[in-house]
Amino acid sequence: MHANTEQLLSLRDGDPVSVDITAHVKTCPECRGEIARLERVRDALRALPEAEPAANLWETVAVGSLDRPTPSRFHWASALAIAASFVMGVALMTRLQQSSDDAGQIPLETTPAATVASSLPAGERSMPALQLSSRRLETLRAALPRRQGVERAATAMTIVELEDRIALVDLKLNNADALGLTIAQERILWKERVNLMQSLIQVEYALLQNPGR
Amino acid sequence: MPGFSDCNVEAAILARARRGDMKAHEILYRVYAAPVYTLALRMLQNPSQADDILQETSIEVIRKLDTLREEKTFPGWVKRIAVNKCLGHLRSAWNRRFSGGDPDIDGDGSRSYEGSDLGVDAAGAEQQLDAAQALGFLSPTARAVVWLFEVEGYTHQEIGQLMGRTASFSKSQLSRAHQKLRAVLGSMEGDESCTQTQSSY
Repeated sequence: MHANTEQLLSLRDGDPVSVDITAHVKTCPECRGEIARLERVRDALRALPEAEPAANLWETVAVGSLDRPTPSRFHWASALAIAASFVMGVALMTRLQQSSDDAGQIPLETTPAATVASSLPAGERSMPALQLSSRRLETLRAALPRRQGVERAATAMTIVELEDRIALVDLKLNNADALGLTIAQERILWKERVNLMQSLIQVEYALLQNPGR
Repeated sequence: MPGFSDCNVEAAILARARRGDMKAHEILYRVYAAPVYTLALRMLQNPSQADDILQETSIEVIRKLDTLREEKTFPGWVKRIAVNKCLGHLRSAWNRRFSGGDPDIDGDGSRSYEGSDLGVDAAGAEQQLDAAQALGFLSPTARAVVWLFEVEGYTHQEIGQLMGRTASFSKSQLSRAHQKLRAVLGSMEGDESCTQTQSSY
């Protein structure tokens, strides 16, 4: 009986194997051929070329490395924003179910050129690319230092409003099937989400640069 | 392939980086970026996820560099962070959602790897596969085991610990993965001598 793959791998790597198997392999050209093949596979894997990451990834890393301690206080404003988002989302879902065509008319955000937007690949506007951008922006935002101290009411409202709108978009995306959204409509929502995230990060970044703003 | 073993850095650069010098951190990044990205790309088979792993690994390196005592351990330290990030990613809900799960981790580890399925698929493709492409035919767990054992030099004991399993689990995964690789690469090469199956042994 031939050695099995696990035994052959052990022999290849110099690990202990039973005397019977060792004796068999010594006299079996098939098993020795298998060991040689396993060596070739290992060598081929080790010889694979090194892959190069995107050239501009360091900029994202540098921003993302900023420390962001966990907030210790419960934010009633955030809770209210989530609740408001939910109520508005339910209302919107009802409206969308009444007229599915409306979803295709969702207006796109026009945002200023956010600092972070410059790191996004231009021209990549397929849905997977938008989803990727959205995830990266989430990572980036999560890494921004937590705001401390008092901020202007108008700035706070802007942030809450942006968060509400993102929550609404998420609500629609999470219920895309139930709402009967088309791929095109989903793509529009992802684009809107990316634009809103860019705006939010821009506002929060500006606030970090100038806390009294 | 150069890999992590070439990620040696000067003590002075590490000292600057520990003090928060971002230019020094960038120098470190330029040293380990390609090995980390390669590791993630091979294990996850997805460039955008490999980007995420590199980013997360880099942020952890920057934040925890002051815990590193000796500069000579820097390559292994970075590799360990990156490997843990990759394995964490394989376990994540996001990955399961988009990869359809991985029975090797989620279930009892008894997923069948009959070579016939992949042999047919691969033969149907009628194209030459290299080792990198062949890795894509493996389950995420099997691929991780193969890469960590064959290329990165981890032992079965270490892989078992990293995955919260045993050394036997790692050995079994490696063995089954090689059977699958044989089916894929063998059929592509038209290698008549490599047509044995596990059951014939």
